[in-house]
Amino acid sequence: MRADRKAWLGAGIVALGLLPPVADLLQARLPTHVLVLLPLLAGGGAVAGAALARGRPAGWTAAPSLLAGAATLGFWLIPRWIDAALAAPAVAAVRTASLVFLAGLPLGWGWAQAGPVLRLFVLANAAAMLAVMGWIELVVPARLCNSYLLADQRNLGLGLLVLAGVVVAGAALRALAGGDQADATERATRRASPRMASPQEPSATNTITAGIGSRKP
Amino acid sequence: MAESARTVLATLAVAGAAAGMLGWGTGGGRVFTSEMARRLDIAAAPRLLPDVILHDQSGAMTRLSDYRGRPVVMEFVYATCPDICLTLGTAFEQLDAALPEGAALLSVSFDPADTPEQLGWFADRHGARAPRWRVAGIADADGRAALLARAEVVVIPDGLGGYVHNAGLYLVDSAGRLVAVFGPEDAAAVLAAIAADAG
Repeated sequence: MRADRKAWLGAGIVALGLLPPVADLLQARLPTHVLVLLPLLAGGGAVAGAALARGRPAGWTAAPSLLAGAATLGFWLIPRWIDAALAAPAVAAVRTASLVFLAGLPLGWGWAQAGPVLRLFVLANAAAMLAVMGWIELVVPARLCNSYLLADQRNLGLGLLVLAGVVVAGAALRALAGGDQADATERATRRASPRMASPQEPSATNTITAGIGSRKP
Repeated sequence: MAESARTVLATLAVAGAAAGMLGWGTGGGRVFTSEMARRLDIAAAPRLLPDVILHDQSGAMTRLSDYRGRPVVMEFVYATCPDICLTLGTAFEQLDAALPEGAALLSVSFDPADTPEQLGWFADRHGARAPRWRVAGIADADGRAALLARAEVVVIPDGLGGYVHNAGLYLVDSAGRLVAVFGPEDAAAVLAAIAADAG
């Protein structure tokens, strides 16, 4: 898919999450609010961010972009701000804009620019944070969000733990299925013929591998 | 080298901005839930409550402003509440026994379906006697909504025909301002606050 098509795909995903019936349905329950609606908004931005990164290698931006995206995502996961977005349309509007442009976009861009070590670091941290958040939602006896029932909070806790497991399993599978090998091969190839690693190379590969091993001058 | 220096600088800048944002969003790491935020906000800036008309368990009508001149402890309940309102009721019974003569107790129903008869049952169950302790509904839907919004009471259906709500003990001072919200079991803190205000 061409980059501009991907940007449109991202916009489409965001628009889907903004459709009033969809947003209302997803916000009716805490698990769908956090595990579907927020990822839709950030995910739409991420698709566009990854598309933007194609053919624009800038490995040095990977870490700060990913950090900005993670912090923004973290902010909107604070129970206080989940409640606030439901109570005040202005807060909800700020949240939508920041999830798309300050969370999704930099996450997609940063992921595409990141090398394998940074990616692994991000996955490990994401899994740890998801597990801790899931654990908190499961064990805290009080409701954290005034807008949702305790049973919903428990379901979200379970969902977050499952998601943490999926992230770990995905990373492990990738490692076992030869992700490391492919990287090693790529490095070996580059060592053998340094000129092959031209700046144009990333645009020739797909987005996922475009940023692997952010190139050192 | 220049590249990694740029990475480090940019990452530090983003980390600083992120720490600032998260610090602001949690009141410096103290406020993670809207309940905590509400209690801090109200304590920092007391707010005048709308002057609603209350229909109590004896069928009498009172205005909230009739309570001016003395402290009132309020709670928000619904008459058929099986759980948290019982905790609140117990705290209110303790307050009823311990509060000075001049202070009043007010249980406000947020459920428009509560009839005066049901409010009477609720009152009997907890030994509430008007005018010291009124159990009252608000007939005017707009007034009820305005009062709940001002006190930031969030009521959601529990899926079983009842409600779940952010319960608390609400202290209204003699000027009619909501000055503090305490936990539903924290009768001692309410007594201490009223004693401190009187002293």
